[in-house]
Amino acid sequence: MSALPLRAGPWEKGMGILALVMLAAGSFWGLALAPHDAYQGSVSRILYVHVPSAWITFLAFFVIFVASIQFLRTRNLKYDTVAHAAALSGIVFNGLCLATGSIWGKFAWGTWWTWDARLTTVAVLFLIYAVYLILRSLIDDETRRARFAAVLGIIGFLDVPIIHFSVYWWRTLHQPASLLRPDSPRMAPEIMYPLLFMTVAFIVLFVHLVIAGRRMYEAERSLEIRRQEQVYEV
Amino acid sequence: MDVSSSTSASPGEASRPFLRAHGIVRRYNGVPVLRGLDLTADRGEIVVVYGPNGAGKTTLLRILASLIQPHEGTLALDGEDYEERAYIRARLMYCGHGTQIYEDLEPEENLRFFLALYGRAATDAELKDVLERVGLWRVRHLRAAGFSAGMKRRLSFARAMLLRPPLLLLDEPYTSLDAAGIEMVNDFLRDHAAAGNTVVMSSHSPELVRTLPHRAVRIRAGVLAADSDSARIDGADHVA
Amino acid sequence: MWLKAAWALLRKDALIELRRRESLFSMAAFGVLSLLIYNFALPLDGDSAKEMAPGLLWVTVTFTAVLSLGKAFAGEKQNDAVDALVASPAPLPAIFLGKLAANLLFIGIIEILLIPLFLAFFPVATGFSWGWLALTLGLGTFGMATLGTLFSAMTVTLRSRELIFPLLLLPLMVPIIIAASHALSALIEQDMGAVSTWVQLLGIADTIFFVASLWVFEFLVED
Repeated sequence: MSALPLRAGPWEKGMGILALVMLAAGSFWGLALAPHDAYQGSVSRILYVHVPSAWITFLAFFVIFVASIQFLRTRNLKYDTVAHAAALSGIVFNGLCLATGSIWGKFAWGTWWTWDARLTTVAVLFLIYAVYLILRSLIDDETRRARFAAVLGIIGFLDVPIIHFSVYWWRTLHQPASLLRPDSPRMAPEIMYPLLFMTVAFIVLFVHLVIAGRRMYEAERSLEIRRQEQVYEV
Repeated sequence: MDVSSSTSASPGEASRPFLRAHGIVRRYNGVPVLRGLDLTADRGEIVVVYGPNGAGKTTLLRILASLIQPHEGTLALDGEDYEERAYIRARLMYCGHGTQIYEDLEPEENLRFFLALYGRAATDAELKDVLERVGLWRVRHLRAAGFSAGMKRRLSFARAMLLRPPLLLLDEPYTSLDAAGIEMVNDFLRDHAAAGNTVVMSSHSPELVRTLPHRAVRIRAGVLAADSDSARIDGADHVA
Repeated sequence: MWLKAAWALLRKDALIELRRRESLFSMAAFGVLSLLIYNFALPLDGDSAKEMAPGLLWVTVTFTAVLSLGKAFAGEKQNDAVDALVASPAPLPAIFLGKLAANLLFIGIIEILLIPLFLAFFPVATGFSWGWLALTLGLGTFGMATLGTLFSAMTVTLRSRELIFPLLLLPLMVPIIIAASHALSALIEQDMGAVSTWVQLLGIADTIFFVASLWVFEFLVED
């Protein structure tokens, strides 16, 4: 029987340390060094968390999509653990994106929630993530769980652009588009560079979390197999 | 498509087993149920698989039925790999613990629908004949919902009698049948195998299959243990 | 072989429904009830009715359809009949197609029943083209039924499937709900430019869902 993966591998550790360093540096850059928005003041600095977490929300969906297709092609459960870990991290970033968007909205527009096209899209994605995780929790047999989750992962990802366009047209066909722009159309480089840096930091953090999540699931599975084999005395 | 045509084997094929499963591994949540199981069955042979509850009899039959894929190992029917789904499925029929009967359909409707899945149709005379054989002719205008478990099992069997599949897979076929029903099943299986078809079935009761010429195998620890009380029928001689 | 198997399934499901009359009757009753409840609970007179009517029609259609779609595979699970379907030489996409066709038939019947009632309860201008109405409803229904059939096959084996089925279906069909109800709004307002935008979106969504479902269906029924 293979050993329980109790210790983090070099990739997991490396990515974790790199993410910590980059997040600290990016926060300092964004919060202390970069200039604040002329109209919104320091509140706009929430953008350094809001925008990267939105990117990770979409990136995680893409990772689930690719991992799901790979699982269905190869039937290798390794890809299923990738999809599961990506979904678990994805929903956290998705929630972060929604929370920061809501806080920003309170200060920028005086309301906690607005049916902004992108915010609405992200809210629908949150529901899909949640259902994906609920579905997984309902199935005991790991191959069936992996198959069903993969099907949902594929359909869900294909749905993302359709959701985006439907929500976008819904908000633009009847209302003037000016309301929909939380950020200025052209971003100043002093804001854009720390934002890009933070996005990369978030991606590194996401990769770390996916590796760590996979290790966690594999440890759980190995433990469960050991337990069962003791029961059956084989 | 006429599935029964493949039952007329040419002499050269006699040496190659009709059904061949090699190194079958299937795990449930990582714990192996089948651990490299090998099984072959010739034309005209009835193989009875024994084993205690949880030994993997149902898993094996479902793998042979192409309903689930083994995690490792290869399967071939009539020399064709199981990857060739259409070819394989045109030649087999699986009847599990469930009778696969639609409760809101009458016997004839059930039979006609089942045959339609195989691209086949039956004449009224054929349907009458088979329903008489399974003893359901007088209830032919009733919905299966009102049938007893044994009657549903008989109706389930009537499908096999119409289809005459080259490979018939049965999981505990005697469940809920009375003595006459068991006799009926055994008569059919004897006749079906004698016509050159292969039957693989699971059972937990050697009593019930005693009158049937068969080869008994046992699943133990995920593999087939040595064949016991072999009473092989000389299938090759009986090929029609 | 393809169409034959799909046709056999459609016929079988129609015959069973004709015998049981379970889905259609409960769907019709539920639809009428929803329309009544909207009238009781919402201030639906004059202009507000006109604005809310398209959305309410789609909400009614959606929830009514969820009622029957969720059980689309329940009959196949009974006695493990689905094993016979999968182990048969009938192509799996054809089986999906047959189940989808049956669902479309049932939901279509309910829609034809609900729309005159709806127009009676919510007096909106009926100067629009009936062809466009049929197209909008048809495309919306097709997308919904496609996803519904797929998730019905998925949830039929799960515990608490009545709970999880709408949870799966509704978030994924958000774009269909948006597009179909706004297409209806635009139709009533005779804004044909907006109608065609939404119809295009529905067409694209339907195509993507349909093709993807035909492909992934096998992974739901075959292990």
